[in-house]
Amino acid sequence: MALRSDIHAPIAAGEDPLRLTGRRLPRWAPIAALAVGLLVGLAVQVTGVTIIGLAPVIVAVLVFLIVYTGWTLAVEGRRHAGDRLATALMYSAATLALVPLVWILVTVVINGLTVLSPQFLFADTMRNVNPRAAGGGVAHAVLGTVQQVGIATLISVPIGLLTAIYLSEYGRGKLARSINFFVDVMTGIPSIVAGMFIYTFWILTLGFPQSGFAAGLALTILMVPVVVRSAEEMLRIVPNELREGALALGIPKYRVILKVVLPTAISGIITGVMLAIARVTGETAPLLLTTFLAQDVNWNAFDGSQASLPTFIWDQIARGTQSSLDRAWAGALTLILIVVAFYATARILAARYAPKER
Amino acid sequence: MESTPATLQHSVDTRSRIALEDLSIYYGDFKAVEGVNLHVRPQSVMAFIGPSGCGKSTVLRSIDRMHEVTPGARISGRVLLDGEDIYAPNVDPVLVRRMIGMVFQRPNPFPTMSIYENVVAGMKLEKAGRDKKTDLDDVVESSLRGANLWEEVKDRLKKPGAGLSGGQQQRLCIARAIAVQPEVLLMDEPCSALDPISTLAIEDLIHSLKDTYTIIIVTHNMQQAARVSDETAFFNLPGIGEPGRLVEVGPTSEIFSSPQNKQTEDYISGRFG
Repeated sequence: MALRSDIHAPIAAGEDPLRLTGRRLPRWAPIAALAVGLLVGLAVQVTGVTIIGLAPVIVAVLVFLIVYTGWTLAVEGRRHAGDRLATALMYSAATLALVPLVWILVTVVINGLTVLSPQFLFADTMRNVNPRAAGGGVAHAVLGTVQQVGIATLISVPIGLLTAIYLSEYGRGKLARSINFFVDVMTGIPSIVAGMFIYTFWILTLGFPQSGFAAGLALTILMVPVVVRSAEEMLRIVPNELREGALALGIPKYRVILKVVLPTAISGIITGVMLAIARVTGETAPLLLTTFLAQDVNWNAFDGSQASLPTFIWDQIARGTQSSLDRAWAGALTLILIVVAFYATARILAARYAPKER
Repeated sequence: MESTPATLQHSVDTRSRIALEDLSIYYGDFKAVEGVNLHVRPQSVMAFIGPSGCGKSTVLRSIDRMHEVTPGARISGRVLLDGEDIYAPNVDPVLVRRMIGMVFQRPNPFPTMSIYENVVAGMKLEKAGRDKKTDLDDVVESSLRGANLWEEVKDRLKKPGAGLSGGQQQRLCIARAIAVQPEVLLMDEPCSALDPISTLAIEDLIHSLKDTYTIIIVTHNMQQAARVSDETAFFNLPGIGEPGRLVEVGPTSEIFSSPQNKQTEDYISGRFG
């Protein structure tokens, strides 16, 4: 028989058929398993057989995993059971990671909204306000945070970006290796150590006053390595073919970097810079050492204590009354709003400068 | 192939635009290519053929000093452009690359630039703003016409170059290369990422560019070498770990019909290895 003309012939009874389909669980299987888990969890909750507070949740998740995996094993086989178990575990882990985030956001929004208002944000300060009584606002702290983070950004973005360009486009040999090493070391500096350094060097040794600028310097130390690493990462993923293509046109290297490499990477660099800004915006410890606290507006970032949102929150929590706690929550919400505004700006700018296909 | 008797052309014009004299190329301590002597006549097409890793692309990249962009890469010997050593100490590689353009294996239009900006990238970036807008428009049109791309893109010059098809992108890269008006055009397997129709378009283009430019093309496709080139150089690796060598160079018709060297004959007849 030279030709397999029987290849599409119906399979005879008793012959082992070549099957492409297997038995599958119904689509609603995960939901059903989850429902069983939740019911058992609820039962634990109602009967009150709890050893620790979270027991019903843990029982619910475990029951869900066992029911779901066991059911799959019985119907679909081992490989599918492994697949579904891994999927379920990953979804559970993702949910677990999201819980604190959502919790924090909801708590801060609910508590913060009690006193938050445009007046609280932009007009009122803590000047002549009894810190234990109601009233006052964060205008002075918003101003301080914007100035301090602005100073840190103005100093660290040029330094960080130029370092990143050196490392990715020019750096070879010992100098590049040691810069790399020191950037790694700087990434690991605890923020309070950065604050202590500026305090002992800038304020004690050089004799400058406590100021928003000193705080900006401390934040710079924390920000530079983050900018370097994110910008370098973005520059390194620019394909080498583009650099070679530009060099082969007889374009000098500095212009290749300015006109081809940087524009290609700019959207990622902007995102990295914005994330670095968002990160240092929440720093508290270095600010306490370098600019301490202030209850009133201080426009001059170069002289005298300046308020900031993180230190405002710290101060208000320490006061310990209900109205000061309300102000702390509202300050926290303000901080989150500022960071969210940075993220949003970063996304918009990154999308605008991203290379386009059409 | 019989249409252009290469020997006749040879007698017409014996000057060489590019000359390689005892050229050896190194990556750090590794010698990649050894002792290449080669002359390329003006307004002709030379094809480099040979097995992978024999150093064709390396030799090509040494001709516009792109080789040295790789860390640790260097050469010995001389590379002459119109009799002038491009590796002489006072020579600026940027100026060399303006005289000798290059087209790469994979199309690499600049992703942040429009088609228009891609074409003028070499000029605009070099002479920052000195060119007038109308002059640039003329250059864009003539370069894109030169690369047989004008009709396809004239209505969307402001659109990103990355949105073109692979073959169009490669012709855009050629337009970009000829916009700076080089004397020599180096092509490193320019069709290997393209389909047969785009390949044909590029080969037609090479035929028409030959009147203006001196072209050296690296190719793995021997039919392509036979179709487009006046002369062919065959490179080979004597053995694993040894540097690549130039085995034979001559008019394409002779290399493909009656090669002098046994290795060349084996390679072009497919009996290699």
